[in-house]
Amino acid sequence: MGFRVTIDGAGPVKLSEQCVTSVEFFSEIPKDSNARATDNGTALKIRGKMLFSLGAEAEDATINMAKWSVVPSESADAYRNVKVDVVAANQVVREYTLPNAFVMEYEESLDDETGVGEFYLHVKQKKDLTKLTSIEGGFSE
Amino acid sequence: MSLRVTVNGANSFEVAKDCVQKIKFRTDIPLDSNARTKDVGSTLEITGKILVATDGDPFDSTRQLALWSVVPAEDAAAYRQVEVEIINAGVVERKYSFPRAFVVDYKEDFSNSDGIGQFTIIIKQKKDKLDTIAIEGGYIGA
Repeated sequence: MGFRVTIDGAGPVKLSEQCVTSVEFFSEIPKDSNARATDNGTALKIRGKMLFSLGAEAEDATINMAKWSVVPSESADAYRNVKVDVVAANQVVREYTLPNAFVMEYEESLDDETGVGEFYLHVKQKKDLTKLTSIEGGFSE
Repeated sequence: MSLRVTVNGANSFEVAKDCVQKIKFRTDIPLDSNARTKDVGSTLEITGKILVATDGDPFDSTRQLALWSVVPAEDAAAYRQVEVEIINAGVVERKYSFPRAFVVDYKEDFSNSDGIGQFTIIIKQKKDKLDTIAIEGGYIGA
């Protein structure tokens, strides 16, 4: 099973199966609800590797995520379109699209032993636009 | 991959590449936010070795980190410029610049069998100066 992550906007990010290691999708509803609440949100957690190509041949897309994570809230670039494809055996199992996602958490960790870095990105759809989140799936690529 | 940390400002110093083992760069906003907020913080966590200079190395740069961590808040030297470079096979993959950084946590660990110590420093960019953080990378240079 592989994951493809596409983030549009200033400094687009395209991550392939080689670097994304896990994706989690959350539909967040208050746990103390007694009935179906309107207070729900959607979020994605993406983890993966930062593969640095030797001689800087291929462009490293993860740097654009790091830059996105420090964009101030007054900038239009703070909200971007995040699309995640979960692909297995030529079938798109899931295609999550968060069209107005903002960064909740971003982390990069690097050390002097492994030669690659690791990243963790947590994004959330702007809460009043939760209904624009789309969850597709079950079609061939 | 090698990691180089430079601290400029009052008393500039560089933490040697031999010392630094691990870098974490983190950006966080409160997890209960419903939209992008102004309440964003950016953190660098640096872990490394405190190497003992057996032939009398005159400049122990990790001690400078310890000294920085005890600078009082009313002192201008509490805020310094921190640059972290991650260099892999001649390519600078990342360069984080925190121009108004201060120390939030500093720790040193020693034990009687290791021969070296271990330091962990957590620094943050002054929260109202988040837009001056620069993240670069992907260029040739050593």
